[in-house]
Amino acid sequence: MPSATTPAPDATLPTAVAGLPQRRLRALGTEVVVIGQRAEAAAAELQRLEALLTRFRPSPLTTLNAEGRLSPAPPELIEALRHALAVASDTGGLITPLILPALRWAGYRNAWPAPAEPQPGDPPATADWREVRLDDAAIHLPEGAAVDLGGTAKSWIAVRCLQQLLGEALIDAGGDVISRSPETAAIDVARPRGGEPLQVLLPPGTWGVATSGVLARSWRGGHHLIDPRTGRPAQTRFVQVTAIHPDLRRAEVLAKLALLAPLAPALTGASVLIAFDASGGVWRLGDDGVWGQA
Amino acid sequence: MATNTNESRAIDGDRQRARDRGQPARRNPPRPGFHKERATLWLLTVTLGLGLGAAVRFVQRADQARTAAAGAPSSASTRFQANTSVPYQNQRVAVLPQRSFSGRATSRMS
Repeated sequence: MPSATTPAPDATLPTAVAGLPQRRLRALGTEVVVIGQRAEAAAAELQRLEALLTRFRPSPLTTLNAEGRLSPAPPELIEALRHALAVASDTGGLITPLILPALRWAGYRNAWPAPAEPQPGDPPATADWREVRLDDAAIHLPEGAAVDLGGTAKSWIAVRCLQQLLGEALIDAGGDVISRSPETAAIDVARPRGGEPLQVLLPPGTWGVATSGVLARSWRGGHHLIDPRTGRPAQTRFVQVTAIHPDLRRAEVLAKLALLAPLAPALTGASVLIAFDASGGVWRLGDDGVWGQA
Repeated sequence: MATNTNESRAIDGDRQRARDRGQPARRNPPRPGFHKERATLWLLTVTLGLGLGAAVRFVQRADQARTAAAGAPSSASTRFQANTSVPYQNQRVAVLPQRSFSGRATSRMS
């Protein structure tokens, strides 16, 4: 049950945001913190959008997945799906919203932390994202396809909710952070296996810091990051990647793309990419597109 | 005390003699113990101090410019650490190997 909090000083936050209204809530399958003027309105918008886009309880998205089509479709679902398809186009299909059948096969069928077990046999083929048909009022999926917006919707929702906040603001959507500040903002980056975090200093302005990895939401025999080329949980060079970009939506995509394809040319568009390998080594992507140990 | 009394008498004597000659008395006669060499030494010390301060500031500015160009936290970050209300001057994202400031949030896998 979400609960409102008073704008009391918080020892973990600097003075610049500790005095602003805060709202903490359970949403998007994680803990969300909204800080800023009109935090209540932003949190309400976040919950409204989640109700439209979730696959874990009855929603327009579950209707779409069950029937393969939805008309009329809520404009927010159309817009979120359109964003996800644009990401699929930008990443050559590596990050696609049609990954849900493979994700279910891998074991991720119910809301986390429900027990997850992979199914026997081979994973189902992932439908071609280019076969999705959508216009301003309707969505049609290819045969056998089902949509999961988990790869792109969290940042998409966070960016929309930031527009509800006035002035200096911050949204922490379970590790995907969007910060708008007239001053430099320090954001910690947790190491995948604990220990002293790294820290990034963001110049004044709006910044997104997104972290993805294969150790969270993982279970025996699988994890939630599916490689559409195999339909199976991805075998990755890194166990965690953090991307920093002025647009949180882009940061979220880059973090996942770096896990799936660490040498993808598109990665050089990130302001900063920080990766951790399985032994705890820290890597950074250089301007030349080459990873170097930090 | 005796010295002061003698100095006062000497100054009074100067004024009396000046009055006898029909000249105005010197309002600020040279103070006993004033040495031109000592004044020169003070002037030299102050000049050297100002010059040294300017040189230190120049080196600090050069260091900040160098680190800013490299995208690394500069000595400006020390001031930022002391008071988070001071804007960090570096316009590039800086990555610190450890938590050095009060973080607003933590980015993590979820």
